[in-house]
Order: sequence, then structure tokens, then C-alpha cells
Amino acid sequence: VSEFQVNWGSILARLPTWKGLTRETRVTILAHAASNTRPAAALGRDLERLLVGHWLNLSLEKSRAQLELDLYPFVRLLRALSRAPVLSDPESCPLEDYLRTHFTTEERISLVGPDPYLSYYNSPSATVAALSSTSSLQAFLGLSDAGKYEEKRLQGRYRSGIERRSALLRDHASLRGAQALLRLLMAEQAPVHLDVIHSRWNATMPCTFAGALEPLLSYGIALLDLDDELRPELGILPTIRQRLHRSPARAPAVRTPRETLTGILGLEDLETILLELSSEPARMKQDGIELFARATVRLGAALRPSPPWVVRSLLMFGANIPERLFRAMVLADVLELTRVRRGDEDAPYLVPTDAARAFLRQGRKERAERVLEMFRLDRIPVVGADELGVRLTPGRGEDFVPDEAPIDPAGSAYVSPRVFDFFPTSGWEISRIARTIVDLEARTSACPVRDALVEALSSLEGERFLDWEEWLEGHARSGNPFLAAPELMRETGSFVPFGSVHVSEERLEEYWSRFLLHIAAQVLVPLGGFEVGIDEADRVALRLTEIGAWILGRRDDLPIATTEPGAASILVQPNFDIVFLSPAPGEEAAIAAFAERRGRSVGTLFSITRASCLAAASVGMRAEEAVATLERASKKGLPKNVVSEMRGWFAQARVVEMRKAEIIVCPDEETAAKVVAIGGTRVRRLSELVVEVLRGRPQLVRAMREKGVFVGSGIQAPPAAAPSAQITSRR
Amino acid sequence: VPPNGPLIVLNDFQVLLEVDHARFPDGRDLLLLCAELEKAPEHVHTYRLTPLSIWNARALGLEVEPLLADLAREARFPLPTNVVHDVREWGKRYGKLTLLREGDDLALDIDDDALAAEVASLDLARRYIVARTAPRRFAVRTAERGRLKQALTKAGFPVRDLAGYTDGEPLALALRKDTAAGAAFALRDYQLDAAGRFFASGTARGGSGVIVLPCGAGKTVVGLACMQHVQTSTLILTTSTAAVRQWIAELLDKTDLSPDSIGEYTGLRKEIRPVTLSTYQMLTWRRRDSDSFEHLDLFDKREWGLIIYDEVHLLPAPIFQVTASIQARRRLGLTATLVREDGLERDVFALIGPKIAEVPWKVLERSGWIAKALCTEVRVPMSRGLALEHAAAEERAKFRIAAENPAKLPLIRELLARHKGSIALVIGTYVDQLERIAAELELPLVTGKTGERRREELYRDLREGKIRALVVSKVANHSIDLPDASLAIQVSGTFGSRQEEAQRLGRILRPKSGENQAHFYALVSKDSVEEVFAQARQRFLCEQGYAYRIVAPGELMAGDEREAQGAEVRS
Repeated sequence: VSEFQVNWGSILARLPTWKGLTRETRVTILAHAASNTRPAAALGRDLERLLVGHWLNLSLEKSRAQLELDLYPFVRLLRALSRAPVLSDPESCPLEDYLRTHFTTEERISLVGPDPYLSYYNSPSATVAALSSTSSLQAFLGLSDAGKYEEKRLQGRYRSGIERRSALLRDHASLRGAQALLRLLMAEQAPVHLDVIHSRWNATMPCTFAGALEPLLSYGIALLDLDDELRPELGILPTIRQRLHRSPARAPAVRTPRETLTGILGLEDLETILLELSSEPARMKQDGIELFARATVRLGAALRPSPPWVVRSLLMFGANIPERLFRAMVLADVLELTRVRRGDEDAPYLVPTDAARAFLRQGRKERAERVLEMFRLDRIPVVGADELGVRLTPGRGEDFVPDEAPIDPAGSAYVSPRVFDFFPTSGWEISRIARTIVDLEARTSACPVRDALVEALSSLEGERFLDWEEWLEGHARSGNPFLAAPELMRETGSFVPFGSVHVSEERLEEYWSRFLLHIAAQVLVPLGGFEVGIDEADRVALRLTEIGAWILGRRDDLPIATTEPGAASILVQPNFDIVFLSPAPGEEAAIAAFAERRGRSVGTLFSITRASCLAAASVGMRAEEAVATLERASKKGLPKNVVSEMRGWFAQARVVEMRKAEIIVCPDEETAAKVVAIGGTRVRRLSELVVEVLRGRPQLVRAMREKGVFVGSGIQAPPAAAPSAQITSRR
Repeated sequence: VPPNGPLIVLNDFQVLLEVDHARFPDGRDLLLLCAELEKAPEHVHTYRLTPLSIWNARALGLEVEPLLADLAREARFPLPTNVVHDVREWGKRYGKLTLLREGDDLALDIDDDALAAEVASLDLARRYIVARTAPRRFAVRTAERGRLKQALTKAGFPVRDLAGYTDGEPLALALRKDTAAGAAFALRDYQLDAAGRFFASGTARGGSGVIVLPCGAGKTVVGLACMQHVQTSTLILTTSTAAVRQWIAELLDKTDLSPDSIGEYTGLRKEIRPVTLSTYQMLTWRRRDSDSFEHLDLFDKREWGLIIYDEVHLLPAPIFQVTASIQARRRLGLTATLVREDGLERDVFALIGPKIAEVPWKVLERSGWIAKALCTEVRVPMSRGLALEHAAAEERAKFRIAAENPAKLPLIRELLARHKGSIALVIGTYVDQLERIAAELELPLVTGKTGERRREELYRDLREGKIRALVVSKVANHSIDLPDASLAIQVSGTFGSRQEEAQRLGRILRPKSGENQAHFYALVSKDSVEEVFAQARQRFLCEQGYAYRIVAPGELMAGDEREAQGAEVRS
């Protein structure tokens, strides 16, 4: 039974007395179950007042007091309210907790009204989302006929018979009264004490205060709790209140960063992964999809760490190592720079392809173009609704469950056909937005989201760093294409199989904000489109770089200096170090084949060691090949001691063959000679008593048997007796 | 567009310096102030920025922002943000804590409220603090001066020590214009400069610190110059008795001190005079591990005004402990490298003092103050029998078999003949082998068994040219001054010890008259485990910047002149 299904007239009548009590007395009354007695002395100077007001009975000895029976509902309600301080302490009590405290499961399901999907899944967050928006309040204020609104909420598909109840907004006056009360609450900057707002209610109002209050509370439109003084207060959800009274969005502040992060991290990561794989293939699980943990750790450790402040910021998705590794591997796969090779015993390994080596040999600009081209907004075709639908429902038909959608279709639809690989699942609601907009674009041949995206991001262009969070908040509110598309605000959707979803303005702001965040964190930061900075107060700020402008399609030439392949400065030092004075991934990949890695990109990247030369020799590399590679790469002549040592180390390598062999162990030399004579070319004598079987074992055994040489398990037979030989397999 | 400078600053705090770059000297001079040199092979030198290197720079009076600006100007790529951030942080810390004298006591002044609170909460520091006399000031026991600095430095808060020094017993000392041996003598510019920086006009800003000079650059003379500045009784600690004698010889040769004002405190003599010399081994000697150090009270046996720590990178732990309690005395560390194998660089910084001067050896070589050196490794084949014995031997035995390869002997003879005019040292590890070589070549031998007097005689004979070559074991690794030795032939080493290589090479780096060229030959058995250890030496010497070549015995003489020429061109 609803917590709020009480006699409100009686409750409201008690409030003046309650207000007059000390806090200690209020605590004492609420601390005990209503029916329990409590020491009369604990009520102090309020005892008299409570006795006069007929709130208490005293025991015969006058030492203990008990609440009057008709006070129980009042106390029970207040005790319940004290458990869910949704207005006074929203941090500790979010709306979800409030709903759970005051509503049964069926009631909560009914709260979201006619949405069968939410009802079916009983999704608490979806219920909260449906109630926590200005539009849900506005919808209530806009009601002219409460019947349909109320019917579902009162009866509900899943409500038990006992919970079904009669209408709360039973007549037009009740509805107008509830709407008037809601307006009063929405006009307030803070929750209002129940007795105060009750006292303001006068005869000119359309209905009684209780008649207006009960439906608002029962439908979760207004919320009731106790403040710190244990006085009941009434209000609307704090986030809605803040939104109703928020100041207009400000232009983001200019920040002066103390540290910055720039560079095409995504390209660097891709190159690093390819170079690592050139040095040592990565072992995969048998499915050929997933790497073993050790390989993941190795590859992750190879990536240049992002500054901790970036990882801690909102942009973390683009900066943390697992995400970066995942992205680099997907990119490598998409660009066909890696493949799975089956090694010993069919074990799969991830290895670079020939295309990867060619890619690494290209100049930096060419490499960057190859990667960045995929993300350039103005060259990406708008994905049609059908294609998106296929993406959303891979291999699925009518049984598609939206919250299992593997991708964030907003990204896939509007940034790049490839970008979906970058996006983890981010909820199905946003997919509805994406889908609706795709429909819209299909009808109008316009690209409102992409245009809005370009316009928003372009505001970060220039030398100044703008506060990222302020910028994000501002753009969620203005220039938000989702808010501008009324289709998104409809309560009925066309593609969610189970019905529709209520998408509020708050959610649309949040989605656009998330969308911008994704584009920033997953695309522009990793690909050098944003330079990120942090100021002395640890505020993150951004500016759009020239590369970023290129990605947005605002300039034609990718602003990266052209470098000639092989023009890098590489020096081979007499102490066997190989120093790269500038990045040269092509040379790096080639040298990795015979040198030990010491660093990455620039600096002492390799050291030539005996072990590294022997390892190269073991896979067939010759000293002269290695020396020639170094000679080609090195800016100066190779030190003689290095060449001399390399040749020496390569020369020390010896190749032996290891194979399984079958041998015949003979009891004496004479038998061994006999076996050799019988076997002919099928055998080879290894020692006085041991003969190796080269081929044709069955024929040999037969022939030996015919000549009186039998295969047995021992070799103790005396020479005079029929000799026996033992065949064993050795490796 | 970043400037195309000679430096590349990496995000792991390494700094690469391109030798062939036109602005190499600018880059090097900058790094000498603020970074530690890690290796200096032919093309690219590697330095490292560390908290200590930045504190050393700050101690020299450098400010962080100009330093970063200079680094950025000389760098090829923008400085990594983490490096800029950390260098700023390290730099900020220096100068925040100052130790001052307050009557008979000491006060620790802290230039920051938060830092004062942090120091007050440090367990390590609290035990040395008597009281907090003001929000940013702490009273410190005089006796805990060193330990407090040590603890705070360890915690990352370097202390600027301006508490001053005791004067010590006065000692009149002047450097001669002509040495006792009759040669003209004057301090070289860099020696004068280093001693001046140490003294700092007698203020509390000077008086303690470390001077870094390469082997053969005259560290002893810098020590004498500092003594002349301070004019006080001095305790000099060295690595060996031979080095003690060497110092005494220098004191007598280049100062006006009389022999009776110089004392030797070693195993043989226990003299305590206005200038007393001892060894680290002597001071840290004890009968049993459980006993106390009997001679450690030498620090208190006289009112020393200056203590000189020779080869400070070898300073043993007990000496650190004593040094912590004698912070009121001036302290001078002399070394060729600040890098310690035990990683106690911070203790050197806290207890001896910051680096006050360093001169790169290439500069000295170019000025002719130290000799040019050419390192040659000769791969000597083993006979078939020896090769088989080597192949079948256990790992440790293999090294000795290879080291004692008899085929090295004719090569030594050939090399001595080739460099007939040079004063030569044949250096080895195994005494049996050295004895055989000495007998075969009829050369005198110095090993650990050779008495001190005999050793001195032989060194003197070598210096005076009475003998041209000496076979020596590792007793000659440290502090033996044989100015004219220009040829070293190493027949066996100690499993590739870097310290040993540097010291052995240092024996022949004193400037030579004439071509000023020294030769260092290492004889290594071909295809043996000795090659593996030689690899470590090869790397090390290349990283020190020496030209290094590997030859077969047959190629040795043919390529010698040409290689020397090549080395000249490179350097």
C-alpha cells in the first residue's frame, strides 16, 4: 500500500504541533516504534505540550509515555520520510533510493506510465530517467484530461488487485489543484516546509491542499522528506530545480595551461604496436581473436604513457592504456596491417603484414594521412538507416534486445563507418536518437548532426585553450541538434521493438554532451585534433589544432611536414647503441630484427648484442644483411668494432636439425652388421650397436624376421641364440 | 617549429647530445651544469636529469626557468611536459630549506608554510629537530646537522647549509712557483677556478662540495689549492697507502710544507700532524665484525679545519656516518665520476656537498692537459689444445684458462718493442701469469706481496726512467702517479669491472711530452669467454669516449698508425 495513501488532513493538522517541538523531542518520538513506550523525562519541556495536544498517554507511574493510537500514521510517515532525504541530502539519497523506500515494485513500474518496455524490464535507471526531467513535469502541467495519464499509473499492467486504487485526480478541480501546487514548487529555489506551503494554500485554490498533494506524491512528481530539523519539506527533484533556475550558459573561460599534451597518439600507438609485433609476434588465444594476457601486457607497456592528469580527466577514454591498445589493434586490423599466423602446433600469433612494413617505410605525413583519412568528417558518407539497422542488429531479427547493442551507433552513423570500432556500448537510448536522425537525414538529405558537430568543435579553434567542462556544458545547451529535432521528443518511437521511450530535454543535453565527449576523447585527442592542457588549478582545457581543423574538413591540406622515407638521423655508436635522432618507424622495424630494443621513437632505441645477433641468425638472417641494413640506415659510417663483433657473433651461430628418429639397438656388433645388411638404404648405422631406421619400417621388420632378427623389448639374448633387436624412438 | 638544437630531451629524463652538431659545445656546457653524464660514445652523448643534478645546478646559483628555457632553446624537439614539470618541482625544492647558525645552535628555516608542515610531520626529520620555534623555523641540535640534511635530502628536500664552519687549527701553506724537483709550477685555469669556487671567498656559501675531474686532470693539485685557500689543518683520506704516499710527495713537491708537518696514518705509521693522510680502509678497519672501528676517532684527534675525500665515489658507509657528525668542518670531495655503484649519490650531496666544478675530459684532452688514448683489443687465438680445454672447462675456470693464454706473451714482447720509447705497464689479475711474464720478459713485478718500500722504489725508477716497463697486478689500479707512462697492456681483467678499466686507463692519461698519445691494449683470447667480459669493457670505454678497435694479432702493427690518426680526427 502506498506510503502516501494516508489521511492527509490529519497529517497536516499535526504539523503546527510538530513544528513547535524541540529537535530532541522529534528525535525521541521517531526513534521508537510508534507503539512503544518511552521515558517521559526524555521529552523534557515538550511533555506538557504533547499531553495537552493529546499526542501522548502517560503510564500509571507517570514515568513512561506512549503515543496516542491515532498518531501512529503520522509518525510512521515521518519515520519513512527520514529514511530517504532526497531533497535535503540528494548526494546520499538519489531518486532511485527514494522510490525504493516509498514505492513498491509494481508502483514503481506504474510510475513510468504507458511505456511497456520500461515496465517489462523494470529498469530502475529508466524509471528515474522518466521522472527526473523537466519535460515530465511539463507534461503533467500540460494535462487537460487526467484520465488516460492516471489510468495506467493507478491500475498498471502488473499491479496486483489489492494495489489497484481509485483515481486521485478524480475531477478537473483536482487536476488543476495539483498543477497549481506543482507550479508553486517549481517557482521555489529550494524545498518548502510542508506546513508553510500548506498555510499558503487558500480558498481560491481549485481543490484542497491534501487533494493536490497526494497525486503529486503518488506519481513521484513532487517529493517529500525531512530536513535536518526533522520537519517535512516538499519540493521537486533537486536536479530539475537547478535546471529550472540555472543561469544562462557562459562562454568557456580561457585557461593558461601549465602542461599540455599534443601529438597523434593514435598513430604513434599503431606504429608502436606494429614495431613491437615486428620484434616479437603476439601470442593469441586459440580463437585467433583475443591476445593472451602476457602479450596484452607487453604491448600495453610499449605504449607511451599518457600524463596522469589526462587519464584522470573526462578524456580518459582516449588516454588510458587498455583503450589505446584496443584502438591501435582495431586500426591495424582495419588497415590490414596485421594478420593472424598459425605457428607451432597451430598456435595463433598476431604478426605484421607486408603492408605494415610498407606502411612503416612511408613518410610520416603519408602514414598520418592513411589513418586520419578514415576520420575526416566531410568525406564520410552518411550511413543510411538500413545499414545502421543492420549494425544494430547483427544477425538478429525480431528478437533484438536493444540494450545488447554492441556499438554506439551515434558514432558509427555520424563520424565514420570505422569509428564504431572505437565505441564501447553506451546504452540503447542514444541509438534511438541516432536512428531517428538517420531517418531524418534520409528524408531531408541534410546532415544536421555533422554540421552541428563541426560548428561546435570549430569554436575551439585558435591559440587559446578553453575550459573543457564549461565548453561541454555550454554546447550541450546551445547548438544541440538533438534539442532542435522535435521528433526526438515524441513519446512514441518507431523502431524500439517494445514500444517507445520518453526522451527528456535533460537526456538530450546529456547525450549531445556525451557525443561531443566521445568525439573529443576517442577521435580528436588521440589523433592530434585537440591539444589538451591542464592549468595550475588542475582544470583541463582544449584547443583545436590544425590537424583537428583538417579532420573537421575545415582545411584541405593535412598540416604535417612531409618527410622523405629514410631521411631520419640514425647513428650506430661504437658501444653498440643505435640512436634515433628522429622517428623512423621503417628503419626501426628493420633493425628490430637483429637488435635488442631499449627505447621507442627517439633516443637509444636498440643495442646490438650477441644474443640479438644469434637470434637473428637462428631465423636465417646473415651478418651481411644486418650490416647492410645498418649501413643503409646510419647517417655515419659504422664503427669498425661493431661490424667486427657482429660478424663474429653471426659466425658463432650453428644450425642443427632436431627430428624424431627410430633406432635399432643391437645386442652386438655382428647383429648390427646383419641389420645393416638387411636394411640396405632403409637404415643407417649410427654406432657399433645402434642403427637408425630411415624409412620402410614394416618392410624392414618383416625382412629382419625372415633373416632371424626379431624385434623384442630386451637385448639380453646371447649371440648364439636367435638375435633380437630393440627399436626405440628417440628425439 | 622547434629549434634544430643539439639536444634531444626524452620523457625518461635522458638527454641526448649530438656530438657532430654545430652547437655541441653550447649543449654540453649547459648539460654540465644541470645533468649527469651517463655515457659519451663517439656520436651521441647521453646525460640524465635527476633531482640531484638539478639541485647541484641550483646550488651553483642557477634558476630553473632560465635553465628550462636554455634546454628548450638547445633542444631539437619540444621538451616533454613531464620533464618540464618535474624539473620545475625539483628546482623549486632547492633553497626552500636553509640551515643557519643561531648562537651556539642551528636553525632550519623553511620558506613555505605547507613545506614546514610537511617537514614537521616527517618521522625521519623529526628526530633531529629540537623544537619548532616559529611557524617556519625549527631549532636543530648542532650535532645532528649532517643527519638532518641526510634525512631531508633522502625525503626529497635538499637543505642549503649556510651554518658556516669552524676555522680549525691555523696552518700556513703556500703553493710553490717552482716544484721541489725544480720544474716550473702553476695552477691550470680550471684548477684555479675549481679551488676558487670551493673557497667562495671564505663565506658559508662555499667550503663544502665535490669537484669532478677526469683521471689525470690533477685532482690532487686542486686539493692543494683548496688547502692554500683555507690555511687550516687538513685530514686527507685516500683509497690506498700508495695514494697516501703520492699525496705526500705532491705536498712536499708543490707546497712549502715541511716533512714534519705532514703525517701518515696508515698500517705502518700512526702520525697525526697538521696535515694528516690516511686511507678509507685504515679508518674502517676493525678486528672483528662485532668490534668498533678503532681508528675512526682520527676525525676527532685534531681540530681539523678541512677534510679532503679523494675518490669520493668510493667513500665507504662508516665514513659517511662520521662525516654526518662533522659538518662544521670544511669538506672537499674529489672524483672522476659522481656515479656510485652503491647508488649513495644523495648522501654525497647531503654530507660532502653539491658538485661545485666539473670539466669534461675532452676539453682537457684538446687543451693538452690529459693524453689522448687509443684503445685496442687484440683477439689472440688459442692453441687447439687450449681451445678444447677451454670448451670442456667449467664456467669460472674458462675465464682463467682464456686469460692465461700463453700466446699473449709473444704479443706483449712485440708491443713493448713496437712502443720502445714509451714507459709501459703490463697489467694483469693473476699473479702466476704475471710472474711468468715478468720472468720471461725480465721485467720487475709489483703485486700485493711486494713490500711498500720496494713498490715505491720501482715506481720511482719508472718515473725517473731507470726502468721502462713494469708488470703490475691490481694493486696499481688506484692513485699511482706515473706521469710518463703512455702504454698499458692489459693481459687479464677482473670479469669486466668498469671501475677497474677506468682506473687502469687513468694510469696512462697524464699529459705526455711530444705527441701526447697513450695506448691501451687489452689482450683477449679469441672465441673464449674472455670475449664476453671484454664486451663489457669495450662498451664502457666507448661510452667514456675512447676510440676502440678490435684487431687480430696480424693486423695490429699495420693498422696502428692509421687508427691513431682516425682517433685524432674523431676526437
